[in-house]
Amino acid sequence: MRAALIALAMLTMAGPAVADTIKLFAAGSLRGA
Amino acid sequence: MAKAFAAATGNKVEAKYGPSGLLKNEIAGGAQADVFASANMEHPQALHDAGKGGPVLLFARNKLCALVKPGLQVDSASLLDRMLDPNVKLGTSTLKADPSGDYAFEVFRKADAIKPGAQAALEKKAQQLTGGPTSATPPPGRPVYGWHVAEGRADIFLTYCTNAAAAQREYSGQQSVMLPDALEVAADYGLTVMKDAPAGAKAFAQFILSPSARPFWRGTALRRLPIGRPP
Repeated sequence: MRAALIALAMLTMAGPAVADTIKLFAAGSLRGA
Repeated sequence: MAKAFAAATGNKVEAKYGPSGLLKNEIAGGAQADVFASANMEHPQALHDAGKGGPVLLFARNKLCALVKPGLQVDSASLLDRMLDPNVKLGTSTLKADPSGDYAFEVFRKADAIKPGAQAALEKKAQQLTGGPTSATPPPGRPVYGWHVAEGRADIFLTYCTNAAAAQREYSGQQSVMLPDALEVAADYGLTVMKDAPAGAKAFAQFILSPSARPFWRGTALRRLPIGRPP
């Protein structure tokens, strides 16, 4: 899990300078993932 | 996963869950969405084709199982006969509104190759109990498929294996039966990032698709499935 968080931080390092609010529309069967 | 992404990036994810067909219609009708994660490939593809979304990417897989009421003797080999039994109530989700319903009707189509006439019989008897705009909703905290079976509206409910597992956890005695190979239907999940979505939406989609996200799938009902692997 820690490795995944580090990888996530690296993945998004070049991401937005300003925080976004992302609207996710998702299949009900994905709830909990 | 959305929480982890938000914590790591500072972005906020507002999630809305529902039947993918209905969500697709909402987006097509103007609802503001940045990422659409569907239980099939067709709905996000339709939005892409309409110029509303980017390329569609496969990100998860599921498959159908039969959720069976306690005490009903059925296994994979006898499942089709049981579904055809006039005394057995058969439930599905709603055709077109929910891919789960579409997949169930694909099972019926395959059944016809085993027993000619089975498709018409199953389509006629199936009660489309969930996933529609006016479908009944269970009490808070109750999984909808297990609730319908527990309430006696269906003796066998064709739904995702992940949903069947969730029902079993809530309702002891309910059974999850694998479909026989000849009836097996796989569900490919596709996502698209909507046009004009903020940059964080693309980063979120990239994270969902990345190997880095796999640990976050563990502990969910989807954990046994080959998430994130190519077709």
